[in-house]
Amino acid sequence: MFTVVSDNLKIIFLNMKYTIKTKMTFKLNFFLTILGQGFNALGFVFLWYFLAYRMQILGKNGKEELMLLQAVSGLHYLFLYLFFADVGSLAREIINGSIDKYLVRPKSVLFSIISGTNISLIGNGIVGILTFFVFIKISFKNVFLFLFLSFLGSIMALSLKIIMGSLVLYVKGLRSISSTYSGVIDTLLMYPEAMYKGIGKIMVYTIFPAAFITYIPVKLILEFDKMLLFKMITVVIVTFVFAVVFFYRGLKNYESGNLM
Amino acid sequence: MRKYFKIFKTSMKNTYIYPIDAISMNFIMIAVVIIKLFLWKAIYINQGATIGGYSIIETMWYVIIADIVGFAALRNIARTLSEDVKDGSIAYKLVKPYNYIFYLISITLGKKIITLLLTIITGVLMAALLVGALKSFTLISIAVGVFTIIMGIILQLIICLCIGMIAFWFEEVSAFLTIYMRTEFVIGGGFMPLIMFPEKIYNLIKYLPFSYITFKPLDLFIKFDINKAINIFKIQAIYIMIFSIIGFFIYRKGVGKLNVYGG
Repeated sequence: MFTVVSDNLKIIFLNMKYTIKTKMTFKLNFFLTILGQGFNALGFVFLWYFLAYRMQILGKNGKEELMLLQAVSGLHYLFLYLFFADVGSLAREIINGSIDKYLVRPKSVLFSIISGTNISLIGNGIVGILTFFVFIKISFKNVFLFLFLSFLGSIMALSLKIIMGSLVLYVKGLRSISSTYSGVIDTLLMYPEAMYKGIGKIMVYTIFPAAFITYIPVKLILEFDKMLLFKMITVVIVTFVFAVVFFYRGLKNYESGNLM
Repeated sequence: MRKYFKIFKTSMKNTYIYPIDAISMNFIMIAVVIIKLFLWKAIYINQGATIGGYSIIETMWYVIIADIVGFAALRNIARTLSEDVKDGSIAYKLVKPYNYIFYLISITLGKKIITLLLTIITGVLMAALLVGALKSFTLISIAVGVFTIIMGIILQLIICLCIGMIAFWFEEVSAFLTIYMRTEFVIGGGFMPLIMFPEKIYNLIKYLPFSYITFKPLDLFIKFDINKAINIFKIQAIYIMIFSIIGFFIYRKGVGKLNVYGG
């Protein structure tokens, strides 16, 4: 078990290392790409900064909450896209019947497909970290929670993307559901939880569980609660295990496109 | 003109082999609009009847039309141009019996048209059903409003073409495009009416070309006034001219120094 995990981690890190090395060949492009995405994230921080004083619904910690939301969302993107950038193309790879090359490898099929690095999201991560240090009270506990919970959030986001990508193994017509679902989740992440009432609130905890990617981490950093942390860890682990099992169960239905 | 229509039609057919993709884009639009409606409802609860002169109904109409304009944008034209430079296909496209820039516009419009129509229908239906009609709407206000919105989209298209032409020097334009898109979204009124920013910031950004792409046309659409319309139209025309001239010079210089490798 330990060897399997360490082997998979090795693949993921090697993949990241070589992608970054390759991209660094064109240094100007590399830095421009990161700068562009960083600017993109900064735009949202700017917008929310000005919206914060209009959102009295958030209470006295309104500005901190909105800024922390952007910080956690940025760092979760960094973790996700530094290691698992190719998860977005899981559905397409399956539909095209082009995962044969991973099937013959003696490593985990799923992690071979989804591991990849998208350097542009490094920009989001940097802006997320800067936002955290500028707007949030710095303490060892806060920094640790920020890193740990953003990482957990990225595992949750990864699991949801695996589930959505794997759906095509069961129902072929669901080609676009993966990107549509991710689009909705990505939008939800940046908006504060306080604005949802009733059915909206239920949805962000169930069908579109953005709450487990950014809302709960933000809550925990602002006001730590052991029980809530435990619940979050449990949900993330259960969802991740379900995602992996869901993919491998579905893999039995895979039809090759004979592209090897 | 007929050849550009054929290019447009071919591009449209190629893009919509899977119609479900176009429909799924619409679901994202619906979700985005619903999320934003939640947001503005929450903001207005504690802010009184109007913010920056906008009532909640006006703001919601603004937000929905801003989303439609956002979806309508032909920003990808910059990426298509950059791809053509990178893979060298621009070399043979430049010698074909069509104008390369009009070719780019036709192909980009063809890729977008069905999604755009679906987005307009969905957006307007959502606004009418969830928000209700605006009292200020008249046939003239809608017609003039739509006209300035189209002018805004043309201005944006020309700016994006200028950005795409950076590919003649840098090859990769994604970063420049991302920076432009976010700037336009934030200080052009893509997220909310600019008048809701603090006064100092609003005064600083209201005359920039970005606000004539989204904010000014939409503001006119919501709060129609014929004098305002003439003024907006004049400034849009000036900006379109300025950026067309800039684009023309960049294009001439860029094509002149173009080096394409391979056979």
